[in-house]
Amino acid sequence: MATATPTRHTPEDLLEIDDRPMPELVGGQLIERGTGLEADAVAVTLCWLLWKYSRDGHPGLVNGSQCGYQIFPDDPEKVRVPSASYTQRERLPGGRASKGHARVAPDIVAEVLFPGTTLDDVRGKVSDFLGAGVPCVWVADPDSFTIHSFRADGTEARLGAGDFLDGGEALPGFRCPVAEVFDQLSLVADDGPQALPPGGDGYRGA
Amino acid sequence: MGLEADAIGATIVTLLMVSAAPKKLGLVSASQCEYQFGRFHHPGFCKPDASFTRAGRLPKGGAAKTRTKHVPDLVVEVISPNDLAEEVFVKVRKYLESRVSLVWIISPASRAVQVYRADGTGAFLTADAILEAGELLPDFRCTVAQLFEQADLYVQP
Repeated sequence: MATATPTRHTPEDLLEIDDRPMPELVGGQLIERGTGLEADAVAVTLCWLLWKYSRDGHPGLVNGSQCGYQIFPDDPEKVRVPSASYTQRERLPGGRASKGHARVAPDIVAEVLFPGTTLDDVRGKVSDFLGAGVPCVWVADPDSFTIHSFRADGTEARLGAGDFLDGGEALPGFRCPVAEVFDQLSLVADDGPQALPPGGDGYRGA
Repeated sequence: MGLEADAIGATIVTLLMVSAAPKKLGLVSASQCEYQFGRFHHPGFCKPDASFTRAGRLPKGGAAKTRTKHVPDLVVEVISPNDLAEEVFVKVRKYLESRVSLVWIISPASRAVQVYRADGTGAFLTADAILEAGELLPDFRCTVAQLFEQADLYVQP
């Protein structure tokens, strides 16, 4: 029985998609990305922490959850879209990024698990970024309040409440309590804003 | 959408966080928060680029793991080159009729912001004009130029 050939999409097609979240493109097929108030709130916090880091003597471009990366050696047409990312200015050619999809591997990629997605579901995405030269990838799980940190050297760590998040050599001076990443969730927790201690300043410079 | 639009969206979200997070005044959301409320009763149509909801008005206890039905206080939309003016106006009207109290429509091409308030007032702001959120976020204060600062600094013209 003949089957219809699925439409192959291009990276340029993604740029024409205005609906959020922008899907990823793997093997010519669109990969939908999730939505959810809690996971989104964690992504916002990670973006803000990276933004504070960039303003604190580490100038660079901070992207949010709708910036595609077209940087993967195994497939030049592949586009991955993380929840947040940061690229130091010195690594951008002429200090500037191109307008469409990002073409320079960022210094840090942060991914948040959206409802229905597990750590195993994003391992391929993590490998893609590490393989493209990203030194460190964080995967935050809003359900367990943990962050899995993956390094290009193959090491992996599971960080929970009481631990500190850092980016190794990729983010010198970045150090933030893991609990800060999930701080916005206390606003929608069962027991109200008092369930967790009041928020601090998040990332603090060295 | 591309890197520049994302850089603008990320800037707005972080500027909101700067004034909201330290005192836990409320929740700052980005475009992967999907709403279903009031005039946006069909699922899948309301994912503003940024939004803010005061702490006392938020749903509790994981009720909003996927789609949330609460009405945010502030909604921010970044216009894309494909957006029709008619579509943007319809959206703004729906937000205001759904009791969103403040709407900011950001135009990257003109580096301008159109402000709509529930009381019917509004403003067209550019360059060094100050954008404020009133009693919603008393500490929020930035120039329109600041919204585009990341894009101007780091994205190829």
